[in-house]
Amino acid sequence: MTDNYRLATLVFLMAGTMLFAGLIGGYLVLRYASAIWPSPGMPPLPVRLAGFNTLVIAASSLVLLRGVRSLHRLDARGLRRGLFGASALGVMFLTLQVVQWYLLFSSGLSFSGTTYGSTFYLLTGVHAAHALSGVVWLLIIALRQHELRVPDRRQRVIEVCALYWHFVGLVWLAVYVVLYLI
Amino acid sequence: MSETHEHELPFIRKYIFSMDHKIIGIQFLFMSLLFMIVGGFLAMIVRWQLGFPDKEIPFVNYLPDSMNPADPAHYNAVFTMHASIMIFAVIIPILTGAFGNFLIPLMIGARDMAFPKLNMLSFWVGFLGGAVMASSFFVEGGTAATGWTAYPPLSAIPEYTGVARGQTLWIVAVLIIGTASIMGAVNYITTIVNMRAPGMHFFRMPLSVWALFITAILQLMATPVLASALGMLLFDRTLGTHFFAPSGGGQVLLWQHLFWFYSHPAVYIMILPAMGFVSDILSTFSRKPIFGYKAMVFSLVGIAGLGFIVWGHHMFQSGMNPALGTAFMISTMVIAVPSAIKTFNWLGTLWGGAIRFTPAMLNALAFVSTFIVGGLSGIFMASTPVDMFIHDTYFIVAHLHYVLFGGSLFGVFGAINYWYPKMFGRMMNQAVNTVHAVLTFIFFNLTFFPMHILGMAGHMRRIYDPTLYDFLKPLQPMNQFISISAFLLGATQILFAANFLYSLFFGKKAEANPWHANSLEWSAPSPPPHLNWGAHVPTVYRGPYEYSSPEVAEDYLPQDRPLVGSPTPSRTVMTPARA
Amino acid sequence: MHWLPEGVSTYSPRIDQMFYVILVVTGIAFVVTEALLFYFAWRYRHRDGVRARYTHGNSRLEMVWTVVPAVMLVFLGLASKTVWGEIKGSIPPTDQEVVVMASQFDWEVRYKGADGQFDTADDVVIHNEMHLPLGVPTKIRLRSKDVIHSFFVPAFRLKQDAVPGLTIDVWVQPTKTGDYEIACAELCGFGHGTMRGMLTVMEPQPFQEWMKQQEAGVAPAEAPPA
Repeated sequence: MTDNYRLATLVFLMAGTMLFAGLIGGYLVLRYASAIWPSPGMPPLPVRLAGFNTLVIAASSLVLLRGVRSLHRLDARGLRRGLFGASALGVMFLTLQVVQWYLLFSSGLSFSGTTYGSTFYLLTGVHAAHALSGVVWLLIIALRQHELRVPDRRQRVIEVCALYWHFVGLVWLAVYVVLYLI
Repeated sequence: MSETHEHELPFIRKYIFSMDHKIIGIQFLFMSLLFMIVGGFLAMIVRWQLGFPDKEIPFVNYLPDSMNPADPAHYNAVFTMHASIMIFAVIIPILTGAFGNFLIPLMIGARDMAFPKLNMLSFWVGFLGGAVMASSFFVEGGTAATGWTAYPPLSAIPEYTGVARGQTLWIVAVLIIGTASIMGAVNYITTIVNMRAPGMHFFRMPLSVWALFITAILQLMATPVLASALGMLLFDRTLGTHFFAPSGGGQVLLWQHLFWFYSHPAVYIMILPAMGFVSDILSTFSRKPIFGYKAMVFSLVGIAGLGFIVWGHHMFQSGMNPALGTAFMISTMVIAVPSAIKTFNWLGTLWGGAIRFTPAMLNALAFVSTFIVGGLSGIFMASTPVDMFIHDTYFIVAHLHYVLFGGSLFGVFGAINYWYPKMFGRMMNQAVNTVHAVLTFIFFNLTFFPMHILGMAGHMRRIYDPTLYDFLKPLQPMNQFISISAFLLGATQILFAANFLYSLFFGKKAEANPWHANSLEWSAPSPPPHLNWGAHVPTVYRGPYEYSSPEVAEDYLPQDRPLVGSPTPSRTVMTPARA
Repeated sequence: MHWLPEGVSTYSPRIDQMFYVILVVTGIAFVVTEALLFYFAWRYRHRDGVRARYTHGNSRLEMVWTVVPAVMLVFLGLASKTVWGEIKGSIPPTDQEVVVMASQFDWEVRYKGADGQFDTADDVVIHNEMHLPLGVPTKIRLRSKDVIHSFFVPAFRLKQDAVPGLTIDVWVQPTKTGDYEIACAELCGFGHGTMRGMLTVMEPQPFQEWMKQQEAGVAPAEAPPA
């Protein structure tokens, strides 16, 4: 039987999935109803930078996956490496997102000017908010995990936090494909 | 788990920031009932304006400007807030918040919700949302005035309504209430899946629990989509984006698609729990097992699943592709089938029963009777060509009130009557509530049935003075009749409110199982103590509907009563998270 | 039966017929279920010494009341689809066109004028008033300047939202002369309830004369000399 924390997290992530489904659905409607996309005069999205960032967040998920495996072996050092590694890559992801926004904003893509800009900032912004809360959560756990002892409740918190972080990564993959590739 | 003594908590922890699911349920109940008074009062204003457009409303000068419909802009505000309050601050919180919280742990044999703190948070976040919505009565420009559907561009650009802050507060309030809903849903789903008492298989759960379970899934899946739309609308209003504004490349109809993707499931969020309560009440007072238990469960599941693919039936005349309209018409026709199954199963439950006409039962019967009308009138709107005529007329006003008042509210009245002894440990006065149920049923039908006829004449909804139209002038006497019936319907509720309050303090003490019912909540004392049961949670041996079973002499057989030879079930059970 | 107001478009009898078909089907379902409800409640009221029947259901009966409503609903769906197709499938070929531009709180009705072209100086533009010839299909092009409105002529059984950013075409072929009211059926702001217009259906001959008169009112002022 799945314990309460894990189940509740999975249930909560279903709600998160629907939130992004709504946003992506809205984006697709606006995009395919427009004759020209990107809107005239607006910069194209940096496919490569974002592609690199996709690798960053994927790496972060993998590092965390290894960390949680160490947890199951009660290997505190491996866990610490995993948590700090994943948070560091998460911070890098967010930094690159900010760089990307800055580059686009300075080449004229504003939030309110075109639906092209609005949908881009809305989707990446809502995702970044989720990523930020994930990174903060990871860091809090990483900084406190020296208290790790025999199996206790905190272990489950680490597991659900990891679940959440993988969700953030998967959503980014979907956002990347929808916004940048198709 | 074996901790049975009551903690002596200070008042504020016990009744205000309580983590006990029963107290939280009662908090939701009181909040919703207070909002119901506000929402009902607004309905009276609406009816006065429609019945007597030339006469000033008595006492109107004592109200905030935003409630005075003498100015047509305010009329829009009044019906907008009537609907918004009734939907977001009354029906959804009373069904899922009040009864969901109170009943789920008690009916499945759990000591509390899986996450009591999250539960407390859900109430206070919901309360905040309600407060934000109510605060808009007092801001400059008054409340939102774009209907509860808030279609942009009307809702997106303040100049179109003259309402600046009120509409923004409305959006924020609905977002907050949605957050509270999701918190509640996560808790309900986890609790029902993980915390059932030993022997409480899924197919031994009372239909109330099934309905609340399915409803929680609907809330969980639908509310985030509304949140995405509300976010876009908020940015359109405040940051100048054009998600819904064609001038900047936006799409007006996008809002309607996202909104109804949420709001059609929301219609079921507002009726499924009531269906569950009514099923339990009908079975208890017919002294008969519910007819076709599994069919009842599967029809709930069917309604919920199909509920996600029928949203377009609100948009037949919106400019959506007519071919899509046909597809949505067919899915809508299909979703009527599980509702029909439920109705027939309720009738089957009555058949051959030994029916006791308690107030709870009368309200449940009123539910079935009015739900039949509401369900059947829906078929007219489902038909695309007929909808072309009756869409946005009083026909749909009649339909939705038959479902939401006739359905949900009779379900709520039934549930309050039925579970009041368990909630407060006292009985309500049965005679007064019998009169209340009968009068409410009569005045309800006198109020809303004639609206079908108005709709058939083409009477548009949301207009503040029907006498401006030649073709509606002959109908004005009917409008007045409806208004007078509505006032009587409103006045009847005073009986219920008075009885509710009086019985809190002076009602006869209730026994643990006053209705001789089977489900687990009746095995706990009335009211149940903190953690609900003494040393052990009950063990479940059978389903909840074993009334008039040949195995025992009495006409009921509680779920937790062992009979000679009953196998003892065993299963691990999760306990509530405790800080 | 005349429970609905008089219908004066070619498709109004089809819509009304569909309405009455549904009314009969749902009416029967209504009478049967409500009668059973009240009869059972009375017949099986509690009496001392009478125990309720102990039964959990009846699969055959449940199959029946699943299949019967399903069949009825599919039938109603298919019948509705046919009528819907007649109305929405295609617009009958016609030269008679009107552009309706809705705005808060006004219906602007535009005819082509003498040159047979829209959006030229000689367009005939009137407000909250529409004239249509009898027996000729008219294509109505609906637009909106600001918010969503809904063009509703109860006597035609015609209702269609006018959506900013879209042009939505509907059609109607009137079958009786007279004056009929136009209303707005979608909440559009504080004046929603007052957004009333008058629609006049005229015999083709008087309609042509009326049109000429209108064109004469426009032409001298605006048409440049040839």
